[in-house]
Amino acid sequence: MDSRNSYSSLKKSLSKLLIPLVKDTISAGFPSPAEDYIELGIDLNKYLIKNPISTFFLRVSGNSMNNAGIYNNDLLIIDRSINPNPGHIVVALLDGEFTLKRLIKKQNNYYLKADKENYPAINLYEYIDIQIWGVAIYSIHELQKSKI
Amino acid sequence: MSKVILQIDGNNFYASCEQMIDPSIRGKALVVLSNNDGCIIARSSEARKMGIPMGQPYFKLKNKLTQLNINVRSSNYELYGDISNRLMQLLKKNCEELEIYSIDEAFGTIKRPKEKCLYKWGKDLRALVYQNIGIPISIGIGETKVLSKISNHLAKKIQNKSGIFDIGIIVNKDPYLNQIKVDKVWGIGKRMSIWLKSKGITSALELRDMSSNQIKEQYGVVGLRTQSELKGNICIPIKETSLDRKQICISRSFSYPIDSLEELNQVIIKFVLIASAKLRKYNKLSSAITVFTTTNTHSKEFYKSESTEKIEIPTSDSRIMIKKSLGLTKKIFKPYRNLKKAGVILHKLQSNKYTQKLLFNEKIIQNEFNQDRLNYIIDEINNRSDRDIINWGSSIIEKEWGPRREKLSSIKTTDIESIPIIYAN
Repeated sequence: MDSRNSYSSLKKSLSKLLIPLVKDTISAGFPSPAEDYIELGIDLNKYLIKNPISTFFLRVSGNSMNNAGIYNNDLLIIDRSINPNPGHIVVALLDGEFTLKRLIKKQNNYYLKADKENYPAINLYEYIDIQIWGVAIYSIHELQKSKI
Repeated sequence: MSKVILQIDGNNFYASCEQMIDPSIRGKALVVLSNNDGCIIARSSEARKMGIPMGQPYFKLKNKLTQLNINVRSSNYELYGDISNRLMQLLKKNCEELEIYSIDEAFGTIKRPKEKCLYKWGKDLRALVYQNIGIPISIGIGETKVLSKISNHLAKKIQNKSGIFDIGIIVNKDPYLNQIKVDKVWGIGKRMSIWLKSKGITSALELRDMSSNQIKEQYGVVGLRTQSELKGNICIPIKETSLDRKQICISRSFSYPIDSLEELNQVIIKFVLIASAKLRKYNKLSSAITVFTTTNTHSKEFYKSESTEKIEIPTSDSRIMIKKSLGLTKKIFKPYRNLKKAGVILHKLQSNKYTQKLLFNEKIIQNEFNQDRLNYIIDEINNRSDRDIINWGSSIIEKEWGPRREKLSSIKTTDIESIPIIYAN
């Protein structure tokens, strides 16, 4: 007996049991217009992550970006493939630490700024070692656990 | 347009992965240790410049590393695997064919626009990889695998350290091949290089120009192939690889420390079941299993242990895996240690379509088939529900040990509990 063949036929017979129920039940009368759509669903991965290769997650600690809708303990989705532009919220490397700021441009100078009053903007030209690590595209905030 | 071969690798790959995800060690001297913190398996270029040798046992260099203020990391294969996977996907998009050679190395092909140097193309690819994934790569370009490998070697040494070298465009390759020591030529093993040196052959150039008969006599077609590739004739074709996983690793940190063999067994069995179900899902078989465990990295009595066993006939059967893993946990378990983390790795994955079966042993084949069927049915039933309805008797866990919610010492991109923290203070 060839085990491989019988294994695959077993697989086939089992997968036959998995035919979507909807298709079988609406056989009488008009075909359901919904039939073509039954396999659709919302996949957050697909919606939130355009470039899986360059997407990374970070966990936020701190409240300086609250005005941008980013709170302590939020899950941040970063896409490194996006070129940072003024207005983007970026993950920057400053003094060996990740920092979350908004990139802004004023009179041909680039700055990093927290979205909170009384936070001074950081002039990028005053730093030698600065790097934009990625651009934040979504922040996922768990409502049940909000601690502000 | 002629086809050229690319050889691409991640520079100091493990160290680069660590530096990519942990900003505090960027641009700093860093070494990565093998499993069990045995020896040094990767160095950042800074550590390399400080003269830290590769492959040295960690305990021998421990004091020196502390004195020189060199950062040390245990290996974090979940991270390296994830970054490698991203790298290969990106390379695959940008090359015509791609052969994944190892975790940090691939061969590819691309067409060369009429007599045009591919330097610019390589520079763009390098920038793209750095932007998307954050690790530096080197690119060697040549007519054959052996030449592209030499090219990559030169890319790291010369061309203003740009990380790209295209030997394929160079008409007189002699001065370049002359720089390459014969034991650095791809395919030349230790024994062959000793033999070559005894014949007075020390460089890639001399190997290319030596008598083919002499090589053929001593090393047959294999030796001849390397020489012919040096001359620019393709003898070792690209074997396109699908982006298949080569290993499956399931590991977790516990919410409370584990200190009995019984509990460790239960946890390991749980991991084995998850891992082997994954194997079956991907239609793979595994021929080796590793079980590992550690205490809290920061604890005074830090303990880390692992053990591996070969599986004679590659399998995806949960029962065989459980049996093997129980032997392994016994080996790695030490009483009176508070274990904080454990895991299982299944290696050497291969497709279940092309498996070497034992000949003339109908009974084993029959058994194997029944096991396949049993595992498959259990998977099928469990897949239809959110939780595992059917469990193996040995895997029923009384206490809840799930992942802890502390910041883990090692950062990973694959585990939501271990992703890096970004400060917005």
